[in-house]
Amino acid sequence: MKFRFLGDADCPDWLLAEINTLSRMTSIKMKVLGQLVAKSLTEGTLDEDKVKKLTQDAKLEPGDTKAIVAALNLILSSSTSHAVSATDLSSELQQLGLPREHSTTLARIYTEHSPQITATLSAQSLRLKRLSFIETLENEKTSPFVKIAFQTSDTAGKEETNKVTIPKESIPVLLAELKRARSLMEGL
Amino acid sequence: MEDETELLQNIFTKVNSDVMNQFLHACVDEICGRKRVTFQQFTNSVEWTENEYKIARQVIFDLLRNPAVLYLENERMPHRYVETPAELQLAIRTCVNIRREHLVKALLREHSIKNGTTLLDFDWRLKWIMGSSKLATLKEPLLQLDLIIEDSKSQQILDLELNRDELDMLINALEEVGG
Repeated sequence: MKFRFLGDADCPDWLLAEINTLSRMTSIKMKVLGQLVAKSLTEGTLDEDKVKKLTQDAKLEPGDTKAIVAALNLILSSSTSHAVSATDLSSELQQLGLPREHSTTLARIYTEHSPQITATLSAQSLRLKRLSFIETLENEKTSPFVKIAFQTSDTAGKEETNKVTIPKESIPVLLAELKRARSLMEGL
Repeated sequence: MEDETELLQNIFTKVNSDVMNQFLHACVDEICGRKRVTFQQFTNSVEWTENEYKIARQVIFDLLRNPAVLYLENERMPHRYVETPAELQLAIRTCVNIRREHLVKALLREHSIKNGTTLLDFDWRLKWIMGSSKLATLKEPLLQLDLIIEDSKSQQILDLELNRDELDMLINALEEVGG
C-alpha cells in the first residue's frame, strides 16, 4: 500500500511496529509527546526530561521511547514535507492501525504545527551560501570605494564574513541589475 | 645610465608615430585588464627584436603605471620620462590625455586589490526551486549572485543564493551606500 504522508511510498516496517507501540499509550499521553516532538522539529532540541517522565508513566522501555519519538518525528516531518491534508493523514494513520482517537489527535497536532515545521524545513533545504547580514564598514565621501561586509552562512550553519571593497562607480550598475532580478522574482 | 638612455633612444626611434600610438593604447588596454599586448601584434610594423620589445613594454608600463605621469605636468614627470625621446613624450602625453580616466580607474583598482578583497565583476541568474529533500514542494525563486572578487593572492567567486528577503536586504544596503 502507498501512503500520501510518506510521499506515495510504502510504510516502513519499523514505523508499523511503532504505531503498535503508540496505540498502547493513552491518546492524552501521546498528544503531549506529539507536541514535544513537533516543538523539537522547529526548535531543534527535544525536552528529554519531559519525554522520560511521560514514557515512564506509560511504562515504556528506553529503547521503545526512542523508537516512538522517531516514529512521531517521521510522521510529522514527512507529512509536512509532502503537504498532505490533516484528514488524509488521520485516515491513513487509521489504515496503519492507529486507533481513531490517536489519529485525530495526531492530525490536530499536525495542523497546529505544520506551518512552523514547513518554515524550518525550508530553511534546512540545501542552499549555497545565504546572506545573513550585510554591513557597510567604510563609506568616505572622498573615497572612490566603499567597503561592505557580507556575512554568509551555509546549510550546515557555518558562518563566514567577507569584506569586499566595491568601486562606487559600479554600484549603480549592480543595483540596477539586482532590481531587475527582484522584479523578475516578483513576477514568478 | 648613459647606455640605457641610448638604448631607449635606439628602440623608440625605430617606431613611427602611428605604431607608437597603437602600442601605447595597447599597453593602456592591458593595464585596464583587457587584452594582453603581444610581440606578434607588432612584429610586422616595427623592426624590434623580442628583447627590444620587452624593454619597450617594460618602460611604457612603468611610465603609465606611475601615478605622477597622470598629472601631465612637466615638473612632476619621473626622470624615466624625461630621458625618453621628445616624440615619445608627446605620444605619451596625448595617449594619457585621452585615456586618463581609464588609467585612473585601473590604478585605483590595483591599489584597492593590494589593500583588500575588491569586487571586479558580477553575474546573476535566477533559479526556481521546485523542491528539496526536506520539502517536496518548495516553489521558491532564488537568485544566484556571483561576485567576482580579487585580493592580492587570487581571484575568486563569492557565490550567494538569495531569496526575496535577502535580496531586499542587499538592495537596501547598496541604496544606502550610493544609490
